[in-house]
Amino acid sequence: MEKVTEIINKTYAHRCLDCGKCTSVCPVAKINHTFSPRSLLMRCVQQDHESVLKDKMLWDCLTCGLCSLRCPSAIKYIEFMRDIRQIALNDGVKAECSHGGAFQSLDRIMTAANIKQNRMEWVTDDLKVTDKGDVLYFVGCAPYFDVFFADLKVESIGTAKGAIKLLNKMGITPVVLKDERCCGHDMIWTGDFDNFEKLAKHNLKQIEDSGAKTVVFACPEGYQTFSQNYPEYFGSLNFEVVHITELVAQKIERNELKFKEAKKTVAFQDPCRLGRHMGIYDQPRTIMEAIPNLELKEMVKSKKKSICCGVGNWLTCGATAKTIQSNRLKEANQAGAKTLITACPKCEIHYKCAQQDENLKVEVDIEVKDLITLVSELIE
Amino acid sequence: MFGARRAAENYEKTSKTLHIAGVEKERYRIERISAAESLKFATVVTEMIDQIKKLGPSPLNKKSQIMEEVQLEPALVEEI
Repeated sequence: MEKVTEIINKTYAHRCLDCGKCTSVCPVAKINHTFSPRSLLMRCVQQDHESVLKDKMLWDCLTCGLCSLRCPSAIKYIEFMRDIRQIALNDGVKAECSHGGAFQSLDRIMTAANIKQNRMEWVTDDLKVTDKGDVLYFVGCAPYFDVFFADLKVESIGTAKGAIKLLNKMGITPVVLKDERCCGHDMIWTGDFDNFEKLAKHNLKQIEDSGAKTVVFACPEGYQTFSQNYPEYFGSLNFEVVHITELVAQKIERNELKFKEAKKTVAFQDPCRLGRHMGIYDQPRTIMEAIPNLELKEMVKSKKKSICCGVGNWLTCGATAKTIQSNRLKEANQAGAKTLITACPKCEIHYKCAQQDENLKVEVDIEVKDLITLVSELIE
Repeated sequence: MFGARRAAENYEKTSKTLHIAGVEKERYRIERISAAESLKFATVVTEMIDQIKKLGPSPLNKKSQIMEEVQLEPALVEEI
């Protein structure tokens, strides 16, 4: 109970006015009417946290942050969910994981000190990388995603290759860590703080050893974890954390990068980690505007109002997630886009998975593509 | 038939994932054994056990890391 009270105070849950804006705006609650973030929060405030800890609903939250944005009392909903999940996990509750918990297991495998990963096999000769230097490119889980979701034709490695190609074009030879670990994003959001801490310490030590002063990310989740969660738990970092779209947008503003023509009408899916968590909305748009003949059609729900891709942290995936995804693809189509551009590997995976539905294919004809992959293909 | 095909697909994904994670390929294998092939079953399982014993503790085993630390200290080994 003490821990719950602490979380309530820390996340301002006691300020709840019971207005219900969080539930009415929640993308999950719109489809699954039994889900209610307000109910979870109010039950904790009213000292009925025992029922919340056992509730399967606790694992349905996407932690996308739309509720916090709408909340008139500025309650930190997602931090509340994250910390309550930590108590639930410590009480022996099992998280509702998709893919049979494969990714959570993989993250836990990566906490072992002695493993020697073979995660550099994708680095081809045309990509310039180094062992020690000022700029480090944090690849993230891309090598694993590429193998695991090969049947969906996911191009996570394409993103990583594209990111290095872009950095090389900007005159940067980035460091790529041979034994980089998962950033721990999925561990902390599923309440497993101990393993998050182990992964973070592995990464921080390796980055320190490489001598990097700037760490570049192409994955919004890694970027968010390093920017917000690492300083929250391990103090301020000795290096700067940047997202690759920031670097590319900066170069475009200085007229240092030119792109080939691309006849495409696109819509942009703002990933929740990049957008609402980190506030990066303009840089991806600056990049897309710099590509000749590329027309950006804004969806009704874009930027701050953007809807999550339906599954967060490899937790609950089912009919609700698939409905969120197909609705979003339809929305992009209605906006007049023929391509949906995302900036997050997980968004790409989830939308490509939703497109496996034969009936949806008839209804919505749209291509899903990663922003960095597209930009790296078009750079001159 | 469907189950075997599904297993083959899963094995491909799992083996590639474990390869990247740094788990030696000798630690996992897929073999099709019919319910009537008792001899093959016994041979395969024995082979697998021998192979794993040769490889020693898994790099993922947290206990094995403790054992290594112990082995590094000669005084402690003598004591044991």
